[in-house]
Amino acid sequence: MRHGRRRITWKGTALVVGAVTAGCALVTYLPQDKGVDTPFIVEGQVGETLDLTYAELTVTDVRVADTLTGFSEAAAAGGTFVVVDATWRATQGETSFLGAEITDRQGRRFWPTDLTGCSTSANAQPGYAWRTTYCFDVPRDALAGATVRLARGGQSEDHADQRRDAVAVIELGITPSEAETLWEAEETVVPEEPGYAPASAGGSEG
Amino acid sequence: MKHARNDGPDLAFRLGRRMVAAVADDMSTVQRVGVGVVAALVAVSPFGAWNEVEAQADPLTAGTPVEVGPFEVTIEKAATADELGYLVPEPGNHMLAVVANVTNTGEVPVNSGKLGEAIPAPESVGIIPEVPLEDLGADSDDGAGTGTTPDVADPSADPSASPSPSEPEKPELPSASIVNIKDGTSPIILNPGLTYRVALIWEQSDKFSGDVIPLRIMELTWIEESAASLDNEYWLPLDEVAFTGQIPIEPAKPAADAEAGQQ
Repeated sequence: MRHGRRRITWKGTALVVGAVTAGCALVTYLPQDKGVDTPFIVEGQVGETLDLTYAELTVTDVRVADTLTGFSEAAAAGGTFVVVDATWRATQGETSFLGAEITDRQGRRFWPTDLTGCSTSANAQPGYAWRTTYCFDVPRDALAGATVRLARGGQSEDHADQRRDAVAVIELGITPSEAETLWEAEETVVPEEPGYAPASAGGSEG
Repeated sequence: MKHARNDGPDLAFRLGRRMVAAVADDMSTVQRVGVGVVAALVAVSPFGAWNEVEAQADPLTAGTPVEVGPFEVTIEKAATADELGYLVPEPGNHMLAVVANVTNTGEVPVNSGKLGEAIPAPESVGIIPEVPLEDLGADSDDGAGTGTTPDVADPSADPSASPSPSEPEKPELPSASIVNIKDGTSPIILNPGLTYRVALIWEQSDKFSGDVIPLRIMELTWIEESAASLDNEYWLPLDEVAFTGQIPIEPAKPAADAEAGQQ
């Protein structure tokens, strides 16, 4: 007769396997990352100045263009270019603003081009307003209801650099009927080089 | 009477047996069989027991769209030209362009470099290899003017020349330069829902005289959560050919190419 040992039973085995399975399910399906990853979204409209704690941001104008013309090249849109003029004012220290993307109603995301003097990022010293222009090539069905997302954290597939940080999401204000009109119009835009914003755009006259 | 014994392997064996006995002694036969099956499955896992059987590449033909990763790709044609915009070959070479219509069918933008990874340079058609870093400082007066040997099965090569006893390492072929034919620019980002007519361009030796090129499109797989890095959610090129086919080379049309570059 043996002492000090316990028989391994089906009941005990089922308990252990069940506990492990339940643990795996909890880790897999509970949205435990949401609280850690979600950025602080600050929503606004074109022309409104948004406080992102590290900067004040104003989208000053939104245009649409078939063609962008720069100093040494011209770029033709695959769809149409949405040209977003924005002014950044860093409030805490020199700041790089690396994130810029448009999101449409279907959840598709569009990143800006760096052709013809368009910016994909900006960098500003505190105390000055810095003007920059982003140009996004988007398809026809992305125009209506699109929003632009701007932040200091860079855009990536999983927005990893924007976790737990302030992010601006601005309605571009394009209605379905306006989208049709904008799509049909043939416009050429010459993007302005980035620089100090004039007082009319919320700057300090440069 | 006690004997001296070598405790090394014997001790390990006895410890292992004791561990197995501690677990298995109290098990029923059915439980032992179950544990044995699980142990066997775990044991064969590192040796590729669950890998899918390597799939045969699907045919690739001009004009037929194929889907690879986030892209729908329709190869239109291959063409050669003395130069294409800012891409000027070395003397003795020309430019080879594969024209394709590419649509990003996904929901997030994709870097055009990913397209270059999906469509590597065709092999054995005289594509000029990348210059190794150690050769960048050396003079390059030999060969086609680049100091490198073109990746070509030269039909005019001397058949009596005996191959080197130690075959040199195969030179790495360069990624394509990708040009948007509509405006002659190099797109960095391919946004969703848009179709781009692009040229994938390589420098090719004049020694190549064929009228078709073998083209491959490699498989891309979506990485939701990377186990190897902090990056998540990206397309990873696999060393697996998804599509392959012979694409005819059209004669050069300098005027049309120049016009395309000016648009």
